[in-house]
Amino acid sequence: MPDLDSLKHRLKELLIERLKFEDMTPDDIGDDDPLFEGGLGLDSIDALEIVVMLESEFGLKIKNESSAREHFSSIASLARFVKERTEAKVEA
Amino acid sequence: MSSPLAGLPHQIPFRATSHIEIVDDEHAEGIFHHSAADSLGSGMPLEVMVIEAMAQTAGVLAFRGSSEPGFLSAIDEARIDHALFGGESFRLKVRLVKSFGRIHRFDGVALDGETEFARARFYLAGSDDGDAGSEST
Repeated sequence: MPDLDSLKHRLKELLIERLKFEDMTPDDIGDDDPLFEGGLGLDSIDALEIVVMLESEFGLKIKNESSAREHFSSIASLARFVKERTEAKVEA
Repeated sequence: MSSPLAGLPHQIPFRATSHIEIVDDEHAEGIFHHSAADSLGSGMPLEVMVIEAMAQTAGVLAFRGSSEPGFLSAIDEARIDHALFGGESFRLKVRLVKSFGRIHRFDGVALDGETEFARARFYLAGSDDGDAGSEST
């Protein structure tokens, strides 16, 4: 598992690619910027695409929508979530 | 036992699929028939009705057992091979890729024999959270 900063950068790249943010680079997304309301303006369809992305890229299955939304609040929280879940999987 | 079509609120001319079969919890198939007399009356290309037919087929799968209506909320990466000809028929195959909350993502294709006429990714939204499981893979 890469370090947290590398993971944040990778997640930004994946979001830009998966959600088709044309003319946007990872540098345009702050680590703590809200991904949904008031920030990037993602919606519920984008949230589903993040779920699909986490499963295909990191092998993480998201089962609980309410807790997932908390982890999806920013790139920083998403990276922490991916790192914790991935490391827990390795240890299991 | 009622036909899966009975689960659709659409009426002709907006009922785009003429047969629906639920294959399993993640797959459904439908039939789209095109008549030369079909018209949407608004200058909208009729080919979009093939995508609508996929969505209706998927809707029966996603919202079966729910008393609340569902909606086609987005279409992405749609491809249509050619303009429709009167008399053409297509077999529709849709697959539930993922559900998250009230949003369901499907991939669909329309086939003439083994030849692909159209494909699309589309999203259906339920009007509440109780219409489908929280996880599908």
